[in-house]
Amino acid sequence: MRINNTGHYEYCRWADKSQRTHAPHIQSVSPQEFFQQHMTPIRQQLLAGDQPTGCGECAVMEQHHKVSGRQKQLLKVGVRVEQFEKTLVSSPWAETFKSTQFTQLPQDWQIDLGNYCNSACVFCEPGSSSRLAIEWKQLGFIDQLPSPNWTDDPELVNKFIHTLEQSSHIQYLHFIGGETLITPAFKTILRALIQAGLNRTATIGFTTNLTVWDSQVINLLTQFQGVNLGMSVETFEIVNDYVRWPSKLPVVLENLDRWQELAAQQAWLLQLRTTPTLLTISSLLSVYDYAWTRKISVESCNFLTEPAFMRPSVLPPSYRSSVIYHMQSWLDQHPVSGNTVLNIRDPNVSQLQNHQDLQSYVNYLKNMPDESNRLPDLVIFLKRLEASRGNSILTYLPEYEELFKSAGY
Amino acid sequence: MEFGANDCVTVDGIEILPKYRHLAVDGKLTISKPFYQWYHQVSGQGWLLMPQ
Repeated sequence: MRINNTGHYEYCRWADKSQRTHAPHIQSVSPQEFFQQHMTPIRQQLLAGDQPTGCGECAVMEQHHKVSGRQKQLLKVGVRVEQFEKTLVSSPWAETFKSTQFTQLPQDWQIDLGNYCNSACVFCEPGSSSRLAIEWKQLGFIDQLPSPNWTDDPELVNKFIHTLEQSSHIQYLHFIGGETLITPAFKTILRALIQAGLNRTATIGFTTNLTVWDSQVINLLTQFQGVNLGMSVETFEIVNDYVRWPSKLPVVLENLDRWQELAAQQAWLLQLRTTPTLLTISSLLSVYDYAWTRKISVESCNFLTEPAFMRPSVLPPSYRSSVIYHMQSWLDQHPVSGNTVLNIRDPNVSQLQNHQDLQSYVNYLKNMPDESNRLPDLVIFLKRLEASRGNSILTYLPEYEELFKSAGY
Repeated sequence: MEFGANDCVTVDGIEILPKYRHLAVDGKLTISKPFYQWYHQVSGQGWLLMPQ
């Protein structure tokens, strides 16, 4: 279950953005009520074999053999897509899901803390970055700033904490922002979980943009049963600075080293989190190469759908062929085989998982229809952004000069 | 379900024996819970949430 940045509940952290529910709000409905009552029709729909309209992005991932959100989430209740009926019958949740009197409390949360962020990544949106929101408003991309963060209201945070305190069987809480480490509510909730003794059994997951370090948060995290740390980076080429503006690669690398050292001491699980776009797909390989030697898994939520003009599929086939060649060559030079890895939290199979995940990008680039008709929209967007930032994509991707100029750059 | 540790067993195309022979006790491999719950655990599929 998910609570998003504005405080609205969502039935699935993976649901298509355009199909997500935007009601109810934590102001009017408790987390228990949403989980037990509002989500029952969705459970019944899924049990009946229907595909909710919000499941489209997972379907695309599976089409290209990328492990989807639904596969990862189903696995936690013992259900596998390739043996759906048999594993559902075998699942400890089979009878509970069928019941119309659903009395369970959430055991697995995604908590969006709000849009406090010191970064303004080019593919991001104002609801997830306060810095980007201010810039977009100044540029006239938006008329109004996004709705306030639900975590700005202490009463709502306390209401949420009260639910967590009653949920003695919480297994996992995944926090995202904004940037989690600079969001005050992150510390507040961690402290409350420790106070309630839930740190002894719960695992905390969170994602950081690798630009900040907070010893107080780290001290709190070390008190939990487990920590899954996601570290956002798009590429180890300099274009990362342009895409994850205004971060600087030397700082990112320094923090990456610090987190890895800490994780080794604390036995935390690490992941590199990427959001591949047209601008970074040609150097995405650098992330997989880095991860291979360190046995860290790489995860991206999905194949990017919005903004549409930044999808990797906007890259014309003539440019894709070189990317495909280099990815395939790397895969051939790093042979590893085995069954599809669904449990992406198993560090023992991270190399196999990464191999399969990179293969899904090869499949995507080979098979997705050409969307290069969106290039002019991309160029218009980047030019307006660059006027504000005083930079140029051609400094970072000179090999795309002809391509961008042909689209009006 | 109970199998002799030296049997060759597959379930739904999934190799059980000899792959999991090391889990046998006194020459027998016993699966005392629904098969896919057991397989989830022995094949390292991570957390299996349980209703409370």
